[in-house]
Amino acid sequence: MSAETATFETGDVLARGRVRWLECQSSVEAIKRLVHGLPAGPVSVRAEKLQPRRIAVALTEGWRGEVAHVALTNAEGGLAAYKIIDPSFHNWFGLAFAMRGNQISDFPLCNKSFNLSYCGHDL
Amino acid sequence: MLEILKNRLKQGHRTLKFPKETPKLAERYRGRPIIDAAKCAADCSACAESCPTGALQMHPPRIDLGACLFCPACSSACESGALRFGQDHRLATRTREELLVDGGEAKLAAALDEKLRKLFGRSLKLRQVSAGGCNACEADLNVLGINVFDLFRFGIQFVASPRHADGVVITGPVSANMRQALIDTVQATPQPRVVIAVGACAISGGPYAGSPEVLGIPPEIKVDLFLPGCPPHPLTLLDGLLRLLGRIEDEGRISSSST
Repeated sequence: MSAETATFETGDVLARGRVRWLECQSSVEAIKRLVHGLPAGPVSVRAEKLQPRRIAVALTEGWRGEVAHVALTNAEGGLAAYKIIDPSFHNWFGLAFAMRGNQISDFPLCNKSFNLSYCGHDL
Repeated sequence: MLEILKNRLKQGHRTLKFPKETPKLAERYRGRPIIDAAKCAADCSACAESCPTGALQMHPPRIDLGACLFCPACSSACESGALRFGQDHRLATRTREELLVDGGEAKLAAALDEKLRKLFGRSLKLRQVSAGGCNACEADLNVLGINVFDLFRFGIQFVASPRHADGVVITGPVSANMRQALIDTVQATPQPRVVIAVGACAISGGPYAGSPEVLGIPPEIKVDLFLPGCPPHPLTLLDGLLRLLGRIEDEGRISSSST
């Protein structure tokens, strides 16, 4: 599946707002395409037993960066550890950089234009 | 600009008349479960076996709303139609025990005592702590701020510091990494304060219960209001908050025939 990559020439709040708008439009188009091409079959299936002592890594392009899932299984084939890192994890440092030398009153505007997820950094 | 104004006029107002009027919820909405134990086959426990969080007890069937994900696993597994999800969004309770429901009469959250109502009744500032949440409960709390639900008209607001808050709203199963931050936030909130647990994770650990990384709300933090769901519907949240402040005046009970 292809989706248009949203970019803008500058990196200010307006630019981030525009990128978000373009992303919304691109997402709507992508959803429309996907809905019409859904594969046949059941909506959910029961998970098979996992292989013991394995590591599985999944990387996919998400909203503003990559999403990484890493799963480790134990000797019995149960989950020993599971770690998820979403794009916000890296982009919080970008926000800190963008805020450098600015007034605190600029923070809400900058913060919301990045629109990063607060959830998931504390797991 | 003119287009925006024209559009606004065409759309009209979006604010709900809640709590005077409750809007009709979508048919797909799964609210308070309806249990008809008389229809249960004697040796059947298909619903309890299908439940991903072990929220169901059998014979007689009872659901722990604090652990329920409101997924349709149990109602789909129930062949006799003894268990289904109704449309009632009112789920809030003041105690953990009251979340265990058998489909009969149920007690809803009672209001705070008079002293606290006098303090918070028309102005309640809340600090939200996402303690390992997935952003679903957080998003449904956030949506209370839009003009449809318009939480602020009741004087309830989310603030940026526990020092400015009258209470703490906890979401997420409380991961090991967030436990101390949560304790610090609650302790930094001036007394008297209220503590509100939102969602199956905060109340019971939800699907993460039993994980060594999930510690739950520490026992020294006394929870004053439980708002179950995965995530709770914004109306469930609003109903619970207004009940806590004594601003919904009804019998505060669900009758057994309620849908």
